[in-house]
Amino acid sequence: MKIKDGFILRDVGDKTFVVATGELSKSFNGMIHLNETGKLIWELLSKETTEEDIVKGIMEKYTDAPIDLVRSDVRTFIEKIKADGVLE
Amino acid sequence: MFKIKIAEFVIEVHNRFDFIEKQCKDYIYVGDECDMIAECTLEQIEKEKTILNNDTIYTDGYIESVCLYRSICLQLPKTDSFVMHAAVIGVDDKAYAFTAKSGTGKSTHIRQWKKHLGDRVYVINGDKPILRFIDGKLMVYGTPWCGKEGWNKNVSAQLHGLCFLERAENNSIVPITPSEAATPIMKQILIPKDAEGAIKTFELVDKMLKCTKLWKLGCNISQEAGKIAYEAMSGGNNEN
Repeated sequence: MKIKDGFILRDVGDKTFVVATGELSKSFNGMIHLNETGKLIWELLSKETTEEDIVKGIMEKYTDAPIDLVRSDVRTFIEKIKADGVLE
Repeated sequence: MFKIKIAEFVIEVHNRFDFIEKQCKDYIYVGDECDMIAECTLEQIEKEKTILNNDTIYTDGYIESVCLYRSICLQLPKTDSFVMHAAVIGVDDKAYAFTAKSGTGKSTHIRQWKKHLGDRVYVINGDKPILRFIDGKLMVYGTPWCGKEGWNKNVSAQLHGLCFLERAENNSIVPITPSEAATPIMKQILIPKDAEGAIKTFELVDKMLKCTKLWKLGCNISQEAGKIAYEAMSGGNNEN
């Protein structure tokens, strides 16, 4: 899975925002706010990847996070952005 | 077709209706220069009609003017400038910006500054000023697109403070951080739909938050609100 082309992610005053640009902006309105973990998942999803690799990617950064919690958070995040039409 | 000069840009306006030329009378430019072209299609005008509030009947000329300003605003970020939904006043060559949801009381608050400081206060733009970085300084410019009161002046001043307005029972003003300001400010910024323009807009807003003193004002309708806001916001200097 991968995020559609056309989204751009930028930090403003240490908060992270995403908007759709170009063709994608015709079907995707509004702005997404991401927290620190959301930003990391989003960046991992900018290249073709799997749910398990995203979990691994997070565990590399947050080494003492409980893996079951990370798995469940990643799943929730992916389901949410899938429903919003963010993924290819 | 005619030319205007706003935010030090010479803009050639391609209009169909007279409305905009009258609206821009204080900003007319005569000369050969041209930095950008403002234009819109009939389809954009028709689409804008469906977006605008149906309670009021707007003329085609007014709607064209809205579309042409949007055309200008979407071109700005590439030139280190952007438009922000805010009311900006000047006092002694310093600009103070107030932003809030429509209907919170920006205009009421500006009247309180006028009562407190008298003729030293002038409104640069009551609704949609242009902000532009020039030589590292963030300047605010008057434009003729300025909200229902028609408050605007063809002047510029360096931005000295940006204040988020909220209604409150008692008046109080506190400094806030760029982090606290980020989410509310992004709601007041027009972001172009092209990637380059969007990226540039985020960069400019980030730069503004980092070089400007930021405030949160809880205010009621008493004149005291203008006094405490001015006393807090007028002190010190920005980094820009």
